[in-house]
Amino acid sequence: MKEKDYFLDDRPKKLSYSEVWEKFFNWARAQSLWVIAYGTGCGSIEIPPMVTSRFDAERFGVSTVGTPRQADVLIISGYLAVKTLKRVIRVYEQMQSPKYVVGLGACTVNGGMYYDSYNTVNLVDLYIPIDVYVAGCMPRPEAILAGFAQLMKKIKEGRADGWKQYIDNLDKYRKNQEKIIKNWKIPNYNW
Amino acid sequence: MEDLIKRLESIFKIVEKKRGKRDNLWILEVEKDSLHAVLSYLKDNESFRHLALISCVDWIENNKFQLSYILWSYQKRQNLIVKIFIDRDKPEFKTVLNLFPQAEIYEREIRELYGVTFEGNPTQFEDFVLEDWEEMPPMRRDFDTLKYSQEKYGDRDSEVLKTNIRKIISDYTDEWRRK
Repeated sequence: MKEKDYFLDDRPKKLSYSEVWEKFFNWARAQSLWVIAYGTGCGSIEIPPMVTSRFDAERFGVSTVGTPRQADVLIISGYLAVKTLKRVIRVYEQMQSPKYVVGLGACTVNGGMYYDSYNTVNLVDLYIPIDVYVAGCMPRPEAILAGFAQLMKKIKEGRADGWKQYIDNLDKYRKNQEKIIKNWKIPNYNW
Repeated sequence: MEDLIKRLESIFKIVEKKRGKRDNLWILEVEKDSLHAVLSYLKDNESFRHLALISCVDWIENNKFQLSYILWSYQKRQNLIVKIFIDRDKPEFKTVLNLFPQAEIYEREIRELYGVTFEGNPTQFEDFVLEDWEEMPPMRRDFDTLKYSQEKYGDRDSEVLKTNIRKIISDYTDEWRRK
């Protein structure tokens, strides 16, 4: 152990009570991430092995729930068609803040092997904010667990702020969504 | 299987016949007006009661659409593909709903992806896979999917994508810490 490990280099910080509470809340939020059981593409087949006994995501506090109201995490598992995007937007907006989105697979990053498809959204980031990407086609359950570890780290450090960005830039996201969804029949605000 | 083809040839005009990759698979081309008669004969007299699939091929060079009706006989354990050609400029055909009820969903899909309409199918204009589609049917070969995808969903080489990738790299390498 080096001598440097015994003391901190940082200058003293002034933290207000709300910041201290926020840090505590973030620590607590990271320990129990509830994932909504909603699969959009081929990646959803990797979720059952992740939550069941072999990879057992529940030891990290990651569990699945049935309704958006109870969920913290939405997994975009693979390619996203326009038809699915409508449902994803509804599900995402019905979730309670704070909420986090994990993009699974190459298709969510840049379209992947469907980059020239007439029906696959290339950049999911334009329509809903994504906190953590897990690259691969398809990522194994270990990779998804690594993504969750990354998400927990980001939440604890207070950097998983996609839901705040969505509230701040709602008009921008709505404009992008309405550009590809022709007949906007869903309610304007779902929460 | 050759006997069956001979029996068929004695009744109907077979334009072209070809053996498939297996012994129990044959591909027949018939005139488009006699298709219903052929399917009806095969269903009633030759036990081809199962319509497995209707598929469509766009022959843009010949200005034709090919419709293939893939049949299966449970008794004989044989496959038969009956294909017809229709005009690409006038993509219309009659439904086979009266013979095979399961044709309803196949015809609806072909109507959406190729724009071939089937006279007599009541649900063919409902949305199947694509919702609110306003362009040319996407599986036609003169539809430029790459151009459409770039215009509608954003280019693969765009700035947004580069930021995305930078975000991923910085997440996993903790580059943001060093700043």
